[in-house]
Amino acid sequence: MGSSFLVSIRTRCFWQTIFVIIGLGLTISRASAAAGDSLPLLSESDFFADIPVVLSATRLQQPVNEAPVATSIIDREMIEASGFTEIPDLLRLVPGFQVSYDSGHVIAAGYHMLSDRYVRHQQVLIDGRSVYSPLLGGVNWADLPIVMDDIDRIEVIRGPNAATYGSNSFLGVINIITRHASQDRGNHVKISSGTNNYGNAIYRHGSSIGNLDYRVTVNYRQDDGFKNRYDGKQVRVVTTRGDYLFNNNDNLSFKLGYSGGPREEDNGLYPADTPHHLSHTTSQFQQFTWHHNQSEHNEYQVQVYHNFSQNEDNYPGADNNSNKTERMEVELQNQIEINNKLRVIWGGSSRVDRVASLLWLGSTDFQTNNIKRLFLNTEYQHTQKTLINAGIMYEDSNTAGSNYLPRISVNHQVNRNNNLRFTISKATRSPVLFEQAPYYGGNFKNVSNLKPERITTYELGYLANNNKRTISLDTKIYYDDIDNLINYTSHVSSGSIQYYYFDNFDHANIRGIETSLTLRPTQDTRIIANFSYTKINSTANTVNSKYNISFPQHLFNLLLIQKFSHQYKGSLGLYYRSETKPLARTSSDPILLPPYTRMDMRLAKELKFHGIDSELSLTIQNTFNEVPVTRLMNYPERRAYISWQANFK
Amino acid sequence: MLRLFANRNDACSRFSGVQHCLMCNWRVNAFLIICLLTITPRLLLAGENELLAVINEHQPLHQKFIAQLKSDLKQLGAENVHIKVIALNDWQPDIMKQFPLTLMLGNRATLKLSQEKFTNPVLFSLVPSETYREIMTSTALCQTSRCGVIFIDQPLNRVLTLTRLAMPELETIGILHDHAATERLSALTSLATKHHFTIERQQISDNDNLIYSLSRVLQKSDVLLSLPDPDIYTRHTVQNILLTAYHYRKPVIGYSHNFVKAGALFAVYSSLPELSRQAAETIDGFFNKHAGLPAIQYPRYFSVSVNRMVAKSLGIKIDDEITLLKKLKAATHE
Repeated sequence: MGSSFLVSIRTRCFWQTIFVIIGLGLTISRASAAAGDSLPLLSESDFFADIPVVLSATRLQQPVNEAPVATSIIDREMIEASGFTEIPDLLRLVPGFQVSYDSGHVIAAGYHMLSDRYVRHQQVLIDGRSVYSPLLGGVNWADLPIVMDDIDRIEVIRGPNAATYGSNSFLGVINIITRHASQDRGNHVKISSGTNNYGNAIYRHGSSIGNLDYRVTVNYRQDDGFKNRYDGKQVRVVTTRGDYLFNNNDNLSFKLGYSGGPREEDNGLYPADTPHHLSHTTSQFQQFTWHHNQSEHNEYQVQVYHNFSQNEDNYPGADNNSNKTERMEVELQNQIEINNKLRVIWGGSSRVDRVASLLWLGSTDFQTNNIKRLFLNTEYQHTQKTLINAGIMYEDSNTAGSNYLPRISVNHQVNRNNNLRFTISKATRSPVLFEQAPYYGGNFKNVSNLKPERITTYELGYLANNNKRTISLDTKIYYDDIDNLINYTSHVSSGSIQYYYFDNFDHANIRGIETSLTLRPTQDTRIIANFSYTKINSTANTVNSKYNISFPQHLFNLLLIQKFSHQYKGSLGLYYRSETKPLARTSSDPILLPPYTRMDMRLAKELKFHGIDSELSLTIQNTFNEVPVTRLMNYPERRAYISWQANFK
Repeated sequence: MLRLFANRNDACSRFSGVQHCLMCNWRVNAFLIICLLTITPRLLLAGENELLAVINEHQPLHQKFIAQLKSDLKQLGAENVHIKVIALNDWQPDIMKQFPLTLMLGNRATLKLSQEKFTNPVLFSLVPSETYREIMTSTALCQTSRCGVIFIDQPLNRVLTLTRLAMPELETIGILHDHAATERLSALTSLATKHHFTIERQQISDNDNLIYSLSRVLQKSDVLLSLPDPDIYTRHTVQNILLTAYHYRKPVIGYSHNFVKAGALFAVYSSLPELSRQAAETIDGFFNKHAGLPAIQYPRYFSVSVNRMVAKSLGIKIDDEITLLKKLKAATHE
């Protein structure tokens, strides 16, 4: 919790930012207001004109009932209705996901998590760009140069899919997909303010010049973190996306982003005598994707991107946790529909991950991991009712060596409304650079030759819907066999010097069932309910590997979205988890977290004045103020915020 | 004989179009005089089986259409019908007097003709029904002469029948329209009731709120039915429309094959050969079978196009193109 002085500075800073943003918006909107020409009558060429292929195979989402692995979609309506302010919180809307806060800006969100605050067992991609941290694994969610309002949808693959996405697509894959630039026209302003010193200001401008559609989004947000802690954050983000159409068959999409700002650091993570201080984070990326339609049935895509992030955390008396990470990747992909029955996607990529960290790796020099991949995925319509997906990835990297990662699945349509899926999939998780060459202030030693963690999954899925598709059900039962789990333990050498080291100590298996039910009884009502039962078995019993109890056995969530008359919209979110003991980092026994239910509510009203469409909303999180105990005693007390957003030319 | 003249005429125009620096050459002058002498009697003596086709020379579509029309006429055994093609820019109303029938292609030709007075029969083709009706009501076109038209677009009933066949569970159809579409809207609404659809509509006043209006329509409907309108569906906006509809997981019903290729779920449309075949039959009927000139014809031959990838991605089970076309023909008795 910041001092009152800090609060006032930040509050002033928030409103100053808003004025700058609005001023910028008005300037841009005035500059772009001089357009528009009269169009002629409808002509014969309107019926024969060539139109660029918009919904190409690479842009289309695979239908859930034909996907090789269980898939959940979080769409725009769900994002807005949830009222969540942080992207990882959205994963609460997916069965089998747990979201917890290690601090106000360190968020651990994961599927069947077998890890501590660094959720190393799932891949996260934004428009096909991996944001998985090469140093410690997981994702630094608060640092991502992305604004939640620019997200079109999030596709969550629940299960390993390394054949498509490579190593680290171990327990799941999260694909965040941003909107095409042409979908944002004019100006959009959103201002939110609430308890806990929460503030969020977004300005977005979208337009086109000739064949180029573009948008620019600027965002400032802040909060005070958790009560009784010094873990607030300020985040400034600028992102832009352009989509340029060369001709009907070629387009180039470019995305650039920057995010930065101070983070409050207390001793939650560090030794008890660590003084309160600020760390500073900057992240940036550049991404270019060229897409070429050779024909209706043959598409090429070349993608190049670069991520760079830097954390400055070097306060006297605290550990020097400054580090730099960088990733560059180039990928080629070709998608061919060979005939009505067979579709093939193949390609390859080359990636370099570079990290420099004095604390974790013991050097300010960059350490490098090179990864090369070749992949082939096929989709074969065996009979009218049976679809076979088979794929394999060959991957070679410095930290994991050479690996073949296969996957096969059969989707069978029992009848029009009932589908079955059976999948066997293998994946690996490569050791991250810290596991590969650990240092951590000299407390760790690199003594063993780590092998990648391995998983084999067997999954049986059942999907059903009614004729009108107002009810849909997605259930899966699964068994995960996991080997070579990497963990650390201490060793005392002959000179009585204690050190820690990593090795492939553990084995675990996970069994469970997951169900997702969606109801749309009317055009105005939507109900999404998810349930998961997860049972982890592991013989491992060191403090940091009590996997058996590290994940709640029962998770339930429900999102109800209702439109009312007079342009009112309401939504209600209910999130339950059973008791759990998350993996601890300390020498004491993991803390038992009792069952916890959280209820969020949101009410919004659309307003129209002077031709401006706007919306005013009130969101209340943790309505009943149920005091949970999370791993670091974080108390997300009842929070509320008001939000106003408007679209104008 | 006529063919020979036509060829020579072509040679003349080509030649005369080449060089005026050669004008000093007496041979050239003599040739030009011969040319003139040959053209004039030819125009005066236009055969009773000669069709004048007026095309927009900048529209490659028209040239393709004429080539197809020639071969269709041949196939129909109507070799006696000869086609004299002239460019719209060279066209004068007087020329029409020499020909028993004039074929006007496209909306530019229709517009130009609407400002002239003429008496001989005219067949319009490659014209959208909307454009034709607009011109007919605002001008004196066809008041002094017989006119026939083969529309380029499909009758609404055919589109709605196909929609019902393709998506039996569909309830609400969303449409975007501009302020001028009131007549078409009332026709659509009454037809929709017949097919047990509800229409959800949104008027578009300018380009910038297109996506906003579209979002509103999509939220309240199961599908977007695109009605051809150059103020709404342009090469550029189609991209936004398809992406936005896909964002809402709602399919778009297109009106052309290319629209479906771009990402619409399905469309009923007439290809150029299908339209030229109908034109050939009408021309053959006029010259050889005394069948007259039907005032209004919607496309008699048509195809159905389905985007399987989009259907799959949206989880829509839809018949293939051949089955749908068969069902559509049976349902509309065509």
